[in-house]
Amino acid sequence: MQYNLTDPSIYMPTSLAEALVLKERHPTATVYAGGTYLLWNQAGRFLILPGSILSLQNIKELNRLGRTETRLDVGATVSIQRILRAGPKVLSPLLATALEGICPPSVATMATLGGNLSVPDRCMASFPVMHVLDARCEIRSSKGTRWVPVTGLRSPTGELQLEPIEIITRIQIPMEEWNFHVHRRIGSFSYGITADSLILVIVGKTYRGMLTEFRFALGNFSPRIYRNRDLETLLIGARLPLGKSKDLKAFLYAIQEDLKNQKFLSSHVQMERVLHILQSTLSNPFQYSA
Amino acid sequence: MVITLDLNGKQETLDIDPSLRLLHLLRYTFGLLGTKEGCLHGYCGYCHVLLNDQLVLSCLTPAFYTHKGKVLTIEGFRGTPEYYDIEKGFLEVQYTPCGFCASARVLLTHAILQETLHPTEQAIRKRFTAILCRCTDPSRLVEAVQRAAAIRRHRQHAV
Repeated sequence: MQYNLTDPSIYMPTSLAEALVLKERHPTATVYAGGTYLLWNQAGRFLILPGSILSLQNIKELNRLGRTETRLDVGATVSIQRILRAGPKVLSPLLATALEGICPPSVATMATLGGNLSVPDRCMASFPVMHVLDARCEIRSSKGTRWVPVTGLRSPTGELQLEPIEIITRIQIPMEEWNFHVHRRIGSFSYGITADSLILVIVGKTYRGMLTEFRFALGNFSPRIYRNRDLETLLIGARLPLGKSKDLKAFLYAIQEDLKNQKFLSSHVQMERVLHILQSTLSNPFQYSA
Repeated sequence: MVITLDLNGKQETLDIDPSLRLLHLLRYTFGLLGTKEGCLHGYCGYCHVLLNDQLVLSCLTPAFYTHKGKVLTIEGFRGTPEYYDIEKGFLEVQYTPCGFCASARVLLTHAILQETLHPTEQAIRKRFTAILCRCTDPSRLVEAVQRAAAIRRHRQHAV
């Protein structure tokens, strides 16, 4: 991001088509939705702004929130507070917990899910849950529209896979029913992602006491998300609760080794907590039933 | 840059520095000192104002963001029937927040009552975590908001 000492160029389109044309003409312009990440930790009298800004607040198409039987459609400029206000009939408890943890309530009226997903230098608090729920993003540019799963929004090394002329316009979250779910935050702060925090999300489906689907992801203060689909399949078909079974021990050992190899966790404490949460969840998942 | 905004029901057009915060625009350009300056990081919640009927933190809102928008501060809100509902509710249960957070609490109460006229204790407590000031008893706050809600319900039915 480039900052300059002169006045920034600010573009305030009123329609999406206009915004896409402006983004094509000014690819270096920083897209501004809620602006909370951009203005965070700036305590000076004047704000330090990027050289050019494309503000999306006047675009009505991006401020829509809709729910069908199978999915939740969130416009890129819909605030976190507005999504939360939709209530338990629209939001699953897992999604509500995850959204509440993105930012403090005072900031939730301004922060947006689209903004949270498109922070360039690190994965923010919404990433692990969006990963696990297999959310998709609608990405538009003057050349067309493409849908990208949140899992593909970042490269394996963590770079945001967005062309300079592209804008995230919508996020689609599948509304599947999970038999158990866990959303845990490890660290000193209750909101967002800080240097010492770790977010763990686990979801699972069962059928007649058997684990039929299992997903889990970890997010921390880095541009990467930890998720290993091969390891997720290890326990599929196992009879629940796993208690102290050999399957569970083998699974936890495999996770531990993989996390060590990928150097994802910053301390032993984090490793112990992650393994403990996984063990306690899988030992008796019905205590976390949705 | 030149912006146009509706500030407390009055159209204003002015040339601003784009890096100016809305908070400072209100306090130093318009002299609306009811919006208080706190942490400037979005934690304390003292600087809440309504922008297009949405509660926002004026410290984290650049002034340019209000272009063609409608800003309502405590000064503009005072004198409306909605304000009197809240004032009456607060006074009836003798809830008196300090001068620093009172304006934010009134606007937050208004935002809650716009969403629902039957706010639950849990919802009120959760929403008020947005204001860090610990000047008053939280249980009295819940009582005050619910009283204000009852007054507003009564007034709306009367109309």
